[in-house]
Amino acid sequence: MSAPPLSASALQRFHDLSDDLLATVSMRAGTWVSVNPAFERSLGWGEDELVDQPFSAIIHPDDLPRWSDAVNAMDCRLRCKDGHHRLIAWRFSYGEGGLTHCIGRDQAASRSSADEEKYRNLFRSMDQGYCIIQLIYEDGEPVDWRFIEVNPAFEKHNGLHNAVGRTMREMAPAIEQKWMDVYSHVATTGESLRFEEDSAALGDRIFNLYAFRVGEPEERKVAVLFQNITEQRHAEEALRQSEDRLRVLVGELQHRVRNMLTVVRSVFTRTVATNEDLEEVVDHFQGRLGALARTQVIVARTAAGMVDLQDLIRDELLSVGVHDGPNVRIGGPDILLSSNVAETLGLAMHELVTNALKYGALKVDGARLDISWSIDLDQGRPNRLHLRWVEQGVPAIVLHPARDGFGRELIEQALPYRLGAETMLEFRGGGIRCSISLPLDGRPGSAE
Amino acid sequence: MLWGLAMSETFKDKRILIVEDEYFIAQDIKRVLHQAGAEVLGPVSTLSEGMCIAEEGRLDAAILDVNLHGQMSYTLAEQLAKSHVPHLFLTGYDDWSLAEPHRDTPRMAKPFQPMILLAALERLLSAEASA
Repeated sequence: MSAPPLSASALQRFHDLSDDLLATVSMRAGTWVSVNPAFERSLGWGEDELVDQPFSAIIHPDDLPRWSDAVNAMDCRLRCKDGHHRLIAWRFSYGEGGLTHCIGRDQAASRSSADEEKYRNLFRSMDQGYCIIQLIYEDGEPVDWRFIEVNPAFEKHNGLHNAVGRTMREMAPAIEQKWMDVYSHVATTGESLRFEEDSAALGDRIFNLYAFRVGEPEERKVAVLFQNITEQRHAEEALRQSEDRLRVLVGELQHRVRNMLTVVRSVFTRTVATNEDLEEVVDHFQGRLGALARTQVIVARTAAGMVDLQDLIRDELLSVGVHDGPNVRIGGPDILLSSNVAETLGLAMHELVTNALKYGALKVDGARLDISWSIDLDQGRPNRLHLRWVEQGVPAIVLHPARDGFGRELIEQALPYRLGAETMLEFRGGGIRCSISLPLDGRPGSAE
Repeated sequence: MLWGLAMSETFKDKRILIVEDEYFIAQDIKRVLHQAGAEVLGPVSTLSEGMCIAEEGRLDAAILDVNLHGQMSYTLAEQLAKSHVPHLFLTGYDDWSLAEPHRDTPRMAKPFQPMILLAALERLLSAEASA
């Protein structure tokens, strides 16, 4: 069963209350015949302002031909009384007398309030800075801009407080011209730009930005989404530099390791060549390897790879269980040695200590060992080290001629060759005397 | 040593410069070259000493450590290349840590084996002789 037809007065009430636009038009005459009150509520036009007026009174001229040709449905723009346009979706129904009934719905109205709230929330809560600016021209040249709208994150990114309503030059007089040019380009061409730019005027910040035109072209308005990426860029730069440093460091480490292995092999060859007895070879080689290893450990203690001379000597003595005391004196100013110097000097100390332990001052009761050093300064910087090793009270009979010759070669040949040292090694009554004098810039033969 | 004898003709009276800042390594190389019958110039441990020898004497080949007390031996390598003296790097560095123009210079990795070093030197000398 169908419901009874609605009365004319009921239909009239629907007609008056509807938020949709209801109109009767004459397509033949091209005029509005009747409009409902929704026209006034959403567009601002009263019934008396439209009835019998041509379509062109409110339909956008570009949309007129489609309006006239429309059959069932179409979209067109209607001009509001305040000059803005609204997009209306129409459906048509054909009645008696050549009249057409039209039902129109405001496309923006159905979305706008919900959408607007959604977008407002988005702009308020997002971490990116957002603003709408309006460019200011003088003699056709962009010279400044005014902030129309900004979001809360805006000032976190660029440090500008209370920007709305003020111009950029008011807040940052030194703002670079390049900003005017790029925003003016967006405003005049309508091209959206994504770019990165820095600004000394805004505290040397680097920004990542997306600028696009909003509003009518003649308004010269640009919306800008942006982010301060200064720290990110600096962190990236620091990371890149640290990667470069690491690369160099790895290269150096490789070089050092291989060099050290080659030295170890050469020391082994020399040890084998100068000892007849296999047990002696093992004993001597292990001792020398140990000395090289100890220096490496001390080198690793400081970031700069420098070695404290006192540590070097004490570690060498400690490795054979000797501490300083009444019979063993160690003394001299604090001095840091480069790893090159420490390596060869450490090996020399090892030879001297081993010799003293087997045949000299560290073996004989009542004998004394003095290890002392001094430093020459050049303009306040250490430039030469003088090291003395003096054994006393060792009976002449215990003196031993230079063991396998390795120690003597090391002190008399290798130290001068490797470190530009001047050395003296004597076996005289009372024990060994050795003096080593070497430049501290690490380069033998250089006049520095 | 057999290989020493076998190669003695190749290296006989050849003047070979050794630039290496580690004393014991330098002595090792010197011994190997002596045994092969070569005449050794140096060894020297600094770039400036190496440059002096390269400038004043007739050289048949050179063995260069790359890092000499923190100084790179590239300038010496360039000097040698200019006067057509074949040379090789004896180094702990990998190719990629050498400066770009020198990556094609023959390179012998440390630690080196005496026989392989001699073989590399022989190749350098014969390439120069046939050039």
